[in-house]
Amino acid sequence: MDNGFDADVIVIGAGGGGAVAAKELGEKGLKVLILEAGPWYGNSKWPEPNANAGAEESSSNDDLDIGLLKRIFTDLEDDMNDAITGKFRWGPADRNLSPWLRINEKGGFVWQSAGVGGTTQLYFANCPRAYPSAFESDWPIDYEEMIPYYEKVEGTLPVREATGTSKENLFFYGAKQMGFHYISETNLTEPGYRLQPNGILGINPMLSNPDFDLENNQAVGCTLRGHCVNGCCIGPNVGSVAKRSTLVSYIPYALATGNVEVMPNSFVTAINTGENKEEGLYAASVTIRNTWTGEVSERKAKVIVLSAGAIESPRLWLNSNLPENKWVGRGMTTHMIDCVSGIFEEDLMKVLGMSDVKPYVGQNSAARLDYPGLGAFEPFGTSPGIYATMIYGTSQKGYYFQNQTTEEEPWDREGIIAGELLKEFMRNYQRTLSIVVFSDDDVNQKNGVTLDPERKDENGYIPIISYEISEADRERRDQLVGLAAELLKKAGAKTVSRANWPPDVCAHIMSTMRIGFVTDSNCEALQVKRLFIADNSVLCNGLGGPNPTLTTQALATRTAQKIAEKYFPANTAT
Amino acid sequence: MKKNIQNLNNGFLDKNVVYDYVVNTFRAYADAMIPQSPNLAKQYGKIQFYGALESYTAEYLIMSLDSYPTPFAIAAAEILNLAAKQYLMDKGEDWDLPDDSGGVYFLKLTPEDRLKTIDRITSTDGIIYIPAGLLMKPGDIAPVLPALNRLTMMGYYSEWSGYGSTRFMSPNLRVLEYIPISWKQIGYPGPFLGYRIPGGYKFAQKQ
Repeated sequence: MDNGFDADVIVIGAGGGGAVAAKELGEKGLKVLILEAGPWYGNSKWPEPNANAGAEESSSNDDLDIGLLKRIFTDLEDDMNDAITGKFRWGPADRNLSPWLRINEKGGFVWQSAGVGGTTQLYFANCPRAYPSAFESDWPIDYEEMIPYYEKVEGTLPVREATGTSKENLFFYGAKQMGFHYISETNLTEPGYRLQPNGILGINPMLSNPDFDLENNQAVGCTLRGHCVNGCCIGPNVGSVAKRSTLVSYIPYALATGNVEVMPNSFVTAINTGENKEEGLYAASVTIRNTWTGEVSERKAKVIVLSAGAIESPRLWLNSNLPENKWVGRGMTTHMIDCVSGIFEEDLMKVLGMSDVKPYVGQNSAARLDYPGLGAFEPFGTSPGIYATMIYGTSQKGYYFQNQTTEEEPWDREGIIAGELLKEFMRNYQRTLSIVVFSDDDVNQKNGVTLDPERKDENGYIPIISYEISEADRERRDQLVGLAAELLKKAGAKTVSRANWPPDVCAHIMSTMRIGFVTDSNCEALQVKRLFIADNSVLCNGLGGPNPTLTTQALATRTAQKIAEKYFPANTAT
Repeated sequence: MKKNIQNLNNGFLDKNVVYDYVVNTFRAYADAMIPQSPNLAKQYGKIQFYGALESYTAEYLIMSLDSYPTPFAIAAAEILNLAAKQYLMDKGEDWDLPDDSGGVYFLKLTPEDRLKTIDRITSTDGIIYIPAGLLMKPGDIAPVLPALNRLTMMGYYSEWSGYGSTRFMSPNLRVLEYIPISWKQIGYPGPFLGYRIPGGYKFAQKQ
């Protein structure tokens, strides 16, 4: 650009939030450069994205290649989701290199992926709105103000009612037995169960035709094959893949504007500032490190959007020595995720008209039960390695034989399942229904992300995640997990196990750069002008329990509008 | 093994001895997590007999731990054996292993005690078992230890063992050669392109 900038706006991170901001800004005619730390799957400029550096950038939908995406997304869960060497990991594209380190102090882990599409590459695509009640405390904007932005994202992804299979049938049966009601509202104030609002296209209408050739399927639509988490690649082209990760939705929409360029394999290691009389400190440029070559360069823009995720965004702030703010990295919420699972015998027939649940079939999670005040939970199923680690392999309570279960507890055992019992339980994989529980955790300034004072990697000091559960949090969590376990019993489970995950497992990582505390109500940093935040970190709290991505995307849509209004008024005529 | 650890510390490293020590330790752990099961085999068919040992799950764990920025497998094996030795002492059992034992105290424990030992080192005060003289800090390895349980299940129940002769190659070079035993044990058919029921679907009912 002839004004000395490399772009009007630089977006750091091509995940659930950054891709949305980029598309919205591109549509307003602004030149946007997205810098993404991880690889770009399904782009012909990177034919071997995990083996070779490939090109520097891509800015055209002509580069997207569904055949390539299908070759890379192998449906094999260790290949895709191994936390250390998988294609979806927090690490560089070159899988011969180590993952990037984070330290979870309490035994948890971070389930997050680098790459264009970020963690939406592997998310279940569940898109509920926040509970309106969550906006009553601390948020500087009203829930009502969010509604048009929710509607815009819901129309764009698009979000629609999920399609259930047997696991959802069984879940609904249990919910009904407990006396819960089906709810059809979008803005929830009362408990109830429903099909997920999710970002997955409708079912391929040819699917029930026994003559339909799945091998050469060129139709649009979900085929219920159960690989949301391992990377969906079902569709005639990248932009119409069934599960709407930003890799296949907002990124192609952004490219279609003709104004957006994406540089993968580009880790931003610093935000550099300038200072002037009018604004004080402002964001001026970023420093990038190429993950293949190690080459360091600088890019300048008028505005910088930080969308590196709820761990890396505060880490980058701190590593860039931006001004001290007692809320940077602090106040993290995680939904204190936990899992319960029940094993059913073959009399499942009576309920389902079939003899098993088949957790590997269907959308990974197509139903939910919302309980404003406590949180939410959802039945889920995946391929067996991930399933076993989630329901039997993760606990803060040690092994099941070390725990006594009391009469009042609706589960039969608690802790890691091991030994012959693990094999016996997994032998019942086909007849296992599992529920993942998201509890509403309060913002606590002690929880969050800090930098290790000594240990660095090539991108700066490494982040340490500390999280402690409060007594009120624990009560809500136990109550909600209890309801989920009871649902399984009411549905007819012969035996129910609670995992009891460490609360610092980070799959819903939120509120580490809170709106109103680190940023103003437009998501512009209070202490650094022209630096905006558009990822889960800027959420003000844990939304009451619902999955955060949709709210982050709605807020990013709003933020893009605010950026244009304030810094590019000529582009806001529409 | 004392001797071997000293050798290690002196930079004089007998690779085979160290390998045996590490692999035997992890096999003892993986076997406790996912054992061979003659009982299940009797009840449900021969395939249920096999466990982590047949599927190289210990080797998967070693490979995984050594893929972190700081390779952890040797250190983790030392920690397991130190904790096992302590565990045997606490129980008042004979813990002084003969010189030719290879120092694998962990192997001397019952499967349940092996898991109790793992639990000790993954609890917040488990940090005391981290041996002095390691190049890494306790803070480097302590957060990695709880991942062992998840890694074991991922290694065993995912496709990884089916990579056969390519399983230890760089991830880009692995090829699925056969259906893992675990998939046969649990009835997982492997990836498929679509799920159809003749005559259409009975989708989840709302009421």
